[in-house]
Amino acid sequence: MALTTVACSRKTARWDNNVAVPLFSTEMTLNDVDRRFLVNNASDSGYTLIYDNLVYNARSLRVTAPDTSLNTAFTLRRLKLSDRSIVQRITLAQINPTFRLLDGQTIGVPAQNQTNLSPVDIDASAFFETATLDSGFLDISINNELPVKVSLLVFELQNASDGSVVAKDSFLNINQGSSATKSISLRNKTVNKGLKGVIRHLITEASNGPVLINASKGVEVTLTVRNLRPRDAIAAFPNQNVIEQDEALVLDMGGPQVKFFKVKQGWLRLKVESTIQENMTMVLKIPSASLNGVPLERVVKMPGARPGATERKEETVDMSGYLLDYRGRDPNVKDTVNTFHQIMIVSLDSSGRKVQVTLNDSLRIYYALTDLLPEYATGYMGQTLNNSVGKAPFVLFKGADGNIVFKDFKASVLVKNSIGAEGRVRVKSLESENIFSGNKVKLSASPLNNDVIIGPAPFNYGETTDKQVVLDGSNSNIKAFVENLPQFIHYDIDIETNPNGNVSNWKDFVFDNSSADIYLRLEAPVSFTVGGLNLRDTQGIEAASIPQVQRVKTATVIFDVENDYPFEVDMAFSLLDQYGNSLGDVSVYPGTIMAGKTTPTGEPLAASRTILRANIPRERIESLRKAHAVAIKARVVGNGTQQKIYNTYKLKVKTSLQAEYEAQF
Amino acid sequence: MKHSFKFLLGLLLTAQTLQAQMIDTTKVSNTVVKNDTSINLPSKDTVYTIQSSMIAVSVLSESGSAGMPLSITGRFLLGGYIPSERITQTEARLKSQVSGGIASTMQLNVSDKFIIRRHQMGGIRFNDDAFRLVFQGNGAYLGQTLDAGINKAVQWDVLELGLGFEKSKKLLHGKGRVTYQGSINPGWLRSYSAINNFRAQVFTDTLAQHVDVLWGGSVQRAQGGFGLTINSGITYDFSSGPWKMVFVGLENAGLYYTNDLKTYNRLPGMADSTVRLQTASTSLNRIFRGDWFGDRVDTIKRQIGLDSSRKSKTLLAPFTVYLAANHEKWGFVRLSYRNLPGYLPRLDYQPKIRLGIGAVRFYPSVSLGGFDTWNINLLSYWTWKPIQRGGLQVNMRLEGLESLAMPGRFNGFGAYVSLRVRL
Repeated sequence: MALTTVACSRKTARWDNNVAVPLFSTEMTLNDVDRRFLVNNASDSGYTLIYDNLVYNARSLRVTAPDTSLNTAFTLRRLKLSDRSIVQRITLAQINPTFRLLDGQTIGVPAQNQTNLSPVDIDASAFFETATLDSGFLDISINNELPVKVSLLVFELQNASDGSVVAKDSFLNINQGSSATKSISLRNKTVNKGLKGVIRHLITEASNGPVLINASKGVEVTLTVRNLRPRDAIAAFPNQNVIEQDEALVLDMGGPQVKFFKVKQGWLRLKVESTIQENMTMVLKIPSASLNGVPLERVVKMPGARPGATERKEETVDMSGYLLDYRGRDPNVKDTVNTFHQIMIVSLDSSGRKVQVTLNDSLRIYYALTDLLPEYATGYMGQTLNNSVGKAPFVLFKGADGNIVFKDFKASVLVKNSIGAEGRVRVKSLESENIFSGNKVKLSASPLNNDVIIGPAPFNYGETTDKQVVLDGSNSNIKAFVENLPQFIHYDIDIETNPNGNVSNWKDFVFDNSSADIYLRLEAPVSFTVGGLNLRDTQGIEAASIPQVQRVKTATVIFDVENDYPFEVDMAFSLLDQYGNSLGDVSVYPGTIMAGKTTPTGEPLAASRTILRANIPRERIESLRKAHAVAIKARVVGNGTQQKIYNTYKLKVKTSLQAEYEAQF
Repeated sequence: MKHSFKFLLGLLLTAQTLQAQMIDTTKVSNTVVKNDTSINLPSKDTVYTIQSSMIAVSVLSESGSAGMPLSITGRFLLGGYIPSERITQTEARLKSQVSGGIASTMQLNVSDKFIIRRHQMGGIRFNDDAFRLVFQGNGAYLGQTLDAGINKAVQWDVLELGLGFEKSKKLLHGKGRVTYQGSINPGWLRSYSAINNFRAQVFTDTLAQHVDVLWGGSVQRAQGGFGLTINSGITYDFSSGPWKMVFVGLENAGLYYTNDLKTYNRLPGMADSTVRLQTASTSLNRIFRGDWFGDRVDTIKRQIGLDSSRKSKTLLAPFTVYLAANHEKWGFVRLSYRNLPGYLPRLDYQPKIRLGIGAVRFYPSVSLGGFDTWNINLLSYWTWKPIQRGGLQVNMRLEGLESLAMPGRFNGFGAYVSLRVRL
């Protein structure tokens, strides 16, 4: 006990390290405007509010590649064994022991007629241990070394283990020093390494006078196996390909005819299971998928499985950045669409070991290109007509029930197309709904009686082709429509892609964010009180979750702010406790964000970026510990002239914390 | 986000804990007191003959590292603040691979028959980026990738009861004496941790708006278990010739069993999956509803893909082997090896130099290897014998005197103190 107590009393080691963690991010738009400061004073307006409310977003052309997968258990289609030969001699002494006594003498040999000579053991282990053959041949070659002519030799080959006959054939008239060969099919035969050769019948002619007797010579039997295709064998298998696939798969892309598909995100998942007791190699080549011009190729090495066991290998490949070419196996020969080329080769790698492999051995291969999302896809996106009926929130007047009246506003229906295909839009119906009053006003606008035809977007990420239909008192009842202060807009809209067919000749494209968007745009002069245009947001930080927060010696909160607004913005931050009460302001430097750049019409062009830092000294760490949220206030600083403000302006804030933290151990 | 970062940091710091909690018995070999005196002392005339009435208390603490100076490793032994400039200086001298260990042993011997002993020991091998991540933090490497890796780390904390024995036999014809010493040690496994091939690739962007972490490896922890080890040694005392003594010994050889070994690793199939901690937005009503943070942590946990399992396992105790010899002229030499990561075969050499001040004797020595690279050591003795049979002996050994002199430059330090009372 005393030992334990003493041992536990070791003091901690302490040091300072620098921890950096991301905190939160937010986007502040006019939806975050502090309405306390929003007043209706058109005559004294410093700003023109341009409010684009998304009514309908058509993502029907989102192209996703279907999962291309293979989940199959292959059995080996074929196996082959090496061609080999063995030689066995059946000596004169074995044929007739009498000649052993006459060895070396020169005598006349009478004609012989013998049957069922003693079997001779033949070691065929050079071929295999055992094999049941689907096809193949055994060549039996008899070389006559006897001093007489062989008139008839009936040779039989048996399995020594059970006496079953492997091959039997007759050889006629083999002159002295000559040979004869017979080929025997081994189809459906089982052959073991232990064989017996039996001469069932041997007839020799008498010699022409005295001849020298050499008892060690006789009949030389050469057994040659060739073209062996076993169904089941225990053998040392040579290197060979057991599966070869070279296929072009036609994929169902759901309408679009895709030529190329650049992967933004996706995975190649490979799983191989083998019961084969010999080493295997699987080569998966996907010529249709390349990264920086290099086709995808994966090689999976499988060690031989233990008898009765299954060997498994898994791999996952990140497909991000790969370009999938769906033009088929050879686009120079046949340029097609939605066609995927893959090659799979499975080879048996000879280890030299004698193992049992059968055609029933299985090799389960699962591979899949899954969860593919495009960065872009090109081809012909098809002719699609979609009718959509629904309602969209109208955020500008959310919570308002009549206190705000816009004067001198302009309205338009704006179609933004970021799809690389021609489109046709037909607005069949728009209706504004004020849920507080229950009023509904249906839009009657003559310009919307016709189709809106819009061209394809430029091939640049995020760029759109726009078409604006202006609505005013002369061509519509837009004033009543808007002054209904709707919270919802009900719509009935047709959108058609490629209304004129494949006019681009497979040059359509879509990015991952491509869509056809229909906005209701309102432009209205507004002004703000002395407080200016203020945007507010609150984000959680949960500083209390930092372990042993009292060990934080100093901290710096870094605010990375991107400003779309064409005005400078003053930023202020304060910490809030769990009930939303202020724990005090956080001083940031610099406090003012530079103005962003806009197009001549006032739309966002390039955001300015400013890094703000708030140093929190040790004496204020306690307030950081209590903080559950950060209140952000952004005051847009006007320049005294009439300015357009789009609700698409954003003030993006990303926040991180760097702290000097005392580590202890 | 912070939880997940804490988790990752924790994994790395766990490795450091292993190092911090390490203990050394390598220089002790004193689970049986006679082994200690036989091995560590330069000549036979210094051997303390143990009597059945003796009580001995000994404490050893030691740290060593091939790569980190005493000013850092010593803090893990004794506690205290490590100045940032010391960490910066160490980082500038870091090799790509760093190893080290810390150990402590406390032991109570009663007449050498009953021994209560607590071992805490551990060793670690890690790379330079692991040092940077643990001691400097990811904030010091914004815009850079840290590829922190721990090849191997092991930590043991065991409490043992040793039952000692000894048998001495005089050889025929006056050729010398052979002494067998040993103990059987039933033990309780207080804790065991191991890290295998842990890797954490950490990238923090320049403004820390996202942290990418790719990790793999396994961490094992167990609390509770039992085991049995043995200590044994054979000393051959020569009666003539220049060689006075040869010793061969084995310590802590045995097995521990635990039925609650928790293994943490990454879910299969997620080995190549990078976890991204990044800024995210939360709506106002969720912030004060209080559930947003837990949800975000749960999401990150799913991304981290931590998989855990429990099983029983038999563990090989971290044994030590010794080979020592004492020569009449050349002095004492010992070769030892402990089965712990970061421990290299150690060679001790103690020349025939003895200094004395009054009743205190000093024996200088040098060593190579072990947890450390090299050490200058000093052994001291003080004996007080107020009565004929009774007495008190204080034995103190300081290792790594060079590190004491220049703690910011050299590695390794150890102190061994034993108090022996004979009644």
